[in-house]
Amino acid sequence: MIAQVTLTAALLAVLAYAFAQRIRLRWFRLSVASICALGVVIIWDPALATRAANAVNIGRGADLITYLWIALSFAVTVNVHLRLKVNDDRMTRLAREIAILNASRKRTFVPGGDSRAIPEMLPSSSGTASLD
Amino acid sequence: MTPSEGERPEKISERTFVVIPAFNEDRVIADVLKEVLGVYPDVILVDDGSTDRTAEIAFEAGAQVLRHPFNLGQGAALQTGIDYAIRNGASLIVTFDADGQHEVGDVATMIGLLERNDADVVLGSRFLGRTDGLARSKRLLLKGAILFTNATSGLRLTDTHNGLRVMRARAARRIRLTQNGMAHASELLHQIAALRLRFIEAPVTVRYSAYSAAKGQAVTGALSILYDLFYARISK
Repeated sequence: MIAQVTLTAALLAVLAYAFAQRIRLRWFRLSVASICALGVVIIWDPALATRAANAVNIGRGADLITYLWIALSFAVTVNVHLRLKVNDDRMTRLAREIAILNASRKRTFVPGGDSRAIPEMLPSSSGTASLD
Repeated sequence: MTPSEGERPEKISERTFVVIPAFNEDRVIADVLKEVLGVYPDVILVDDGSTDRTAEIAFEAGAQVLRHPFNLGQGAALQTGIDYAIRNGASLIVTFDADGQHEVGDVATMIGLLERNDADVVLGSRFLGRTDGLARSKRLLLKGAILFTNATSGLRLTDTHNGLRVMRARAARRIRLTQNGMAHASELLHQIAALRLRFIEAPVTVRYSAYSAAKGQAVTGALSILYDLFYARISK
């Protein structure tokens, strides 16, 4: 009973966390809710997993859950990879605009976040330009 | 006949920008820029997050310097330079390597070919031209890359990974490189094929020094390129 209550609480916490995120996609919320609901049912009726496994010619319920978990993990990994690629693309575009903007304003980027004007572009500059 | 240094090629368009992507090239960039700026006044050096003095040296040499705040890859640097050139009124855009492998005299030949044939893009080919100091292993790697890129793009090129290119701004506007790394070379060719741009190849010279050979692609780099291209294909 303790294990079942603890696991149920954990799944409900996952559900709450998922819904607390600013992801309004209906399919995402539906997926998370479905998985958590299924998980709670299996926790309180483990024989259900065994019956479902037998229906698809898998011997044990635990094996079925393992296979489903592997498939789900793969899907999550692919999704994370795709999101990282989207972020990479955004960072590239942002870095590009920074480089072009700085060049257009006659500034140059110095590692450490300091953007300095090229000295000879300043009205009061004299001597040799230095970027240090 | 190749124009001598300082002599502008005939029929050069009003604004020809030479885009040079660079990463940690402070040992050679001054010489490269001296050679290029001697013929083409509009040189854009895109410093791809170098940790040495590449950008400072390029600025002192007289190039227009753009700096990425962090390293993104040669493909990203190239696209940044192309975007900047277009926004500043370029008619022709030349891509040129920063490591001293290319000869500035070849650019005039390529521009002449572009204009005589009314092409959109001229691609340099070391295998139609000349290579100095090309190692056998590198030659094999390049030949493999040529076979792969020709098979996947439908083009029939003799050199698919040469950084020396000339393109009209109208063609450059239609090309959009999304591969930040070295796979951009293949991506560029795929886009040329997909957009049905008129292209020709031109014989060029590629010089290999110990310095430039050390900076070239290893086999692991080639595998990385293959992965990038495969991923780009399946994520469409």
